[in-house]
Amino acid sequence: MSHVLDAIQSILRQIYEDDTIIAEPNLQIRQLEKWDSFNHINMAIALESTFHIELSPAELERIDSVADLVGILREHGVSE
Amino acid sequence: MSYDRQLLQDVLSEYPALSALVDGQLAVWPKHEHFLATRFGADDPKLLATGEELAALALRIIGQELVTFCQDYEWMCERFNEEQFYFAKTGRYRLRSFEEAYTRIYNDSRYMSRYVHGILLSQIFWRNHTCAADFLRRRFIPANVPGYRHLEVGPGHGLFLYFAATDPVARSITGWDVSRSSLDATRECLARFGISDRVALIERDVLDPAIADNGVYDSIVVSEVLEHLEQPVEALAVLKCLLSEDGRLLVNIPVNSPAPDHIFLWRSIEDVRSTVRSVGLEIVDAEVYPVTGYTVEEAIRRRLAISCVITCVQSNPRA
Repeated sequence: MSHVLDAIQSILRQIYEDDTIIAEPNLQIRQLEKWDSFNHINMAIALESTFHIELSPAELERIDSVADLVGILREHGVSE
Repeated sequence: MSYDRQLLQDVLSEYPALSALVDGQLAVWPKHEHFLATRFGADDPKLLATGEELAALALRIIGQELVTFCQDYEWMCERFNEEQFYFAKTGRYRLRSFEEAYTRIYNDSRYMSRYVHGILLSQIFWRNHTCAADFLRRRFIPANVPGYRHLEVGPGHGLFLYFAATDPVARSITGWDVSRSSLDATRECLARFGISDRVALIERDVLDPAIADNGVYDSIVVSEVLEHLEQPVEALAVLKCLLSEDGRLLVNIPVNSPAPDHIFLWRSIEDVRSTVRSVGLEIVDAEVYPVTGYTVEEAIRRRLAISCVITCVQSNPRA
């Protein structure tokens, strides 16, 4: 697992309180048991802090899967 | 069929108006399924019955425009999420002045129209909003004295005003709002119910020094309005003066509740209660309703919205 996916997995496990989450590209974040708009926002804030980026509300809306997340991070210059 | 969709279908099977609204919303915004399943999956039959009543009224207001209303609700939720994102990062609301809110939102008839449509559906889809309506419907209005004179400040979509206007023991019903667009929406709602002639709608700022209605209202409702003001304490003091000697005031203030036009931030339930008491009002009935999917304790810990619904009276009316 790349360091980016590793960091995403840590954030997902912490925010969604589930240590069994595996950050595979096709993982649907909005299908996680504890997903809601508040946790989605907290996930975005954790990503901003970890990767030193700033996400827009529109980018938050685009995040459905881990693959979406990786793509957005790449747009911000964060590569695996 | 997904688990959430099946849950919604099972829970709402005996509630045709709620089912119609939920089906309409999910046709427009499928991603909202999990939220709605969380919302209605946790309801008891009493709250579902209130939801059904509100949904049936909302459908009468909506008429043939269900798709538009559902699109506007999704749009409004996106605006709220933007503000929640800002609030979670900064710990404050974005807007500082009423003038900013007026310029950006209240004076924009297109924005206001979509906003009022969205708020109408939130009355059914957001648990704290439904609970506040339930409080008004079951606890506040029935306790009013026969022949009561009723005022609502900021009636918005008009549903709360409807409950007073259809109460056979109410003598007069008045609505004030500073926004002409918002009053237009209220007027349209009342017209759909055929009760326009029972309600006086007036474009008025509660802080207008020319108001000379002291002591003439037996029942006043100010729900989700004070957080839109720069000087909510002053406004509350004016409302207290408008109460008759035995008059009752329903105040609904959300804490930690970012929205595009929220200005004044109350950070705790006790902050709200202190504000109410600070103007000489006594709390005689109160409930707190956390945001959908959370307990009060969780909402406090995570700094999420809680609606504080309070009935109060003048603490010393003869002084």
